[in-house]
Amino acid sequence: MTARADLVSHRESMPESRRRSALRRKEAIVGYLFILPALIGLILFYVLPTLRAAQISMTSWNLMRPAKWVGFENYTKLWADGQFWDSMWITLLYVMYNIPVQTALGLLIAVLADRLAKSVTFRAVIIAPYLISNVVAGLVWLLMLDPLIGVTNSFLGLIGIGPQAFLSSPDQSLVSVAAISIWRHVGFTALLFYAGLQSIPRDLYEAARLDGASEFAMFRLITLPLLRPVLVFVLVTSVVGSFQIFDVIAVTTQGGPADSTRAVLWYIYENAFKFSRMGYASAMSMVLFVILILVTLLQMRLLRGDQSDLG
Amino acid sequence: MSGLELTDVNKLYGDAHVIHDVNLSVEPGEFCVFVGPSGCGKSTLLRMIAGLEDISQGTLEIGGREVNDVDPSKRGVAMVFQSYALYPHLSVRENLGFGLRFDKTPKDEIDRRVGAAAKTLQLDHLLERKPKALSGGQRQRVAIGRAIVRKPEVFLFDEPLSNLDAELRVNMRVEIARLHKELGATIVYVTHDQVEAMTLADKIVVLRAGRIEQVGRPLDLYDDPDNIFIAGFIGSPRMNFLPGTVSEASGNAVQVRLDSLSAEPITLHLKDALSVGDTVTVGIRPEHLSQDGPAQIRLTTDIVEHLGGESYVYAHDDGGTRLVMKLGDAREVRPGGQQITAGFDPARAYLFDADGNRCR
Repeated sequence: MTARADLVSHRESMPESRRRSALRRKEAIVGYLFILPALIGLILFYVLPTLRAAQISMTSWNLMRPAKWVGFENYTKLWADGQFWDSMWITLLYVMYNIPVQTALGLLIAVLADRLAKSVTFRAVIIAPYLISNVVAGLVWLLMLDPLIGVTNSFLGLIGIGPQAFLSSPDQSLVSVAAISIWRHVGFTALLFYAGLQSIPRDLYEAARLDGASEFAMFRLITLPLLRPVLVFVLVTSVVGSFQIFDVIAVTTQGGPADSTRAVLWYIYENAFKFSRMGYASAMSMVLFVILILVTLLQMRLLRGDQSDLG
Repeated sequence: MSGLELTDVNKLYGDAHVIHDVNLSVEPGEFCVFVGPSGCGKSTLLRMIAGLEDISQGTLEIGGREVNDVDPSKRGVAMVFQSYALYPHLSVRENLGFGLRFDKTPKDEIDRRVGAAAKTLQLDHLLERKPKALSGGQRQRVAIGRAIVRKPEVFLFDEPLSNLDAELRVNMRVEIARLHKELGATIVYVTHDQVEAMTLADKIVVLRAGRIEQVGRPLDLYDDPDNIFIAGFIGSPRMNFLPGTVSEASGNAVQVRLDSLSAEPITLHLKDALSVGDTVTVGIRPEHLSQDGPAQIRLTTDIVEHLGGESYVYAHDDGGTRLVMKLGDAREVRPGGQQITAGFDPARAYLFDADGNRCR
């Protein structure tokens, strides 16, 4: 008997269920091979640093001397650190300024672009700010919002509004930072919504039009419910992104004036690289990490992010 | 129920003229089917009636009222879309009642009408389901139900059965015919399937390249087509077309020599005058070809399709012209190379001039 005939007879003698599970195992191996490069990246750049940060958070380490194991001491210290909770509050305020406006504005732009002008130029223009880095956007706006030489005050002057301090005022600085972020991200958000709108069949709107639905009724009863998966994606990514606001603050206010823009990531950065408290900074990072996971899970659960009515 | 009237209706998209001078009258309660090949403008015409497309020129009247500039929702029409256009996030009940919430229909009345439509269409047990959980036929019934609850003057159907499998299509065809009878509704129905058109319509409108080619009752179009396009489009399998030349013309009798077939010239009696040498096309329906008959053609078989009660024999002659015969019983006919003789009665043949117009 040849080897091939052997194989065939062996296969024939295998029960159907075993043959199928062997095939499935083979397919699974191919599947794992496909995701292997991404898996390696994830482990190297996300999982290992996270584990390392968790380890450092249990130590006292100033980068000069070897780390000293302190257990949960950093966490108990953090619990009593008023400045940390202040920075969390500032971050939360920033998220609350940023997300509703960015989401509503992005949705409005997307719906208008979809219903009125399906222009490629328009889409290119609205996405342009997103192509600029946060640092450059921060620098440009730092100049534009300058109370003395900035163009923003000149424009406000034209409509009779007096000069504003913007980034130099403790009352306006956080709103100004949020505005810069909105300006940079709203186009991208709009583009995500615009892409989501393309997946809603046109004839649903035609059927609604025949039923006598107004544009607003169509938006409320068709667009919004069917856009839910995109909305969840936008909310989760922008909320997580907003909690991590850093570069615009680093370029424009550096946490000031009077700590009014000291968001949590800036506070972590100060502890790690200004005061060389790596263990303490890592403990704060771990707390932020857990908070973001909880926020994401909550959003997914509340908005049924894993379910789509389409398709 | 109201009828509708289209007068000199045209549609232009910029320079593209897609609907040309359509004049058509649909009587109240009539089932009118627009049929034609893809891109002939039948769906565009339907959408113009619905108000989803503007009418560039001409007038549209529904129930005697000009509605060119009337909002789609105020025209008294309801439409069933090819894709069903069901709202995927709403239940069957909410889908059925969707249109009523905008004209301030009281909730009790919405419930009553939804219940009645659900009963008519046997959807009672599916009212709480989402469209995703329905079969194709059930979705189709919900789409029809959504139109029914609005009690429109005119129902518009845009290729409603094209997404269904063959068996379901036949069932739904019967269902739609039953519904038309029950409701006595005026229906304008678009399809590219001439079987649907033949079985459902009181009146068929055949369109080609944005123009009406012929309007008439199904059997009138089948028996008395105005031109070669209608003759070929209505009827399945389609009519056989044989090129020929007028070899003799005297009085109302013409003799036609069939160019590529090894057959004797045939004599036809016509009112229209033709001259010797005129190029013509002779049309013979597959069921009018049999194994005997006054005019004889010698053929070689290619394929034989046995459908049980009847058979189709696909064959060709020495010159390569292909023909199809419909026979009651073709068990003795072998596919692939058997020599057979096809006969027909010239009185049942159709004659078309060089421009494709029917010579009567």
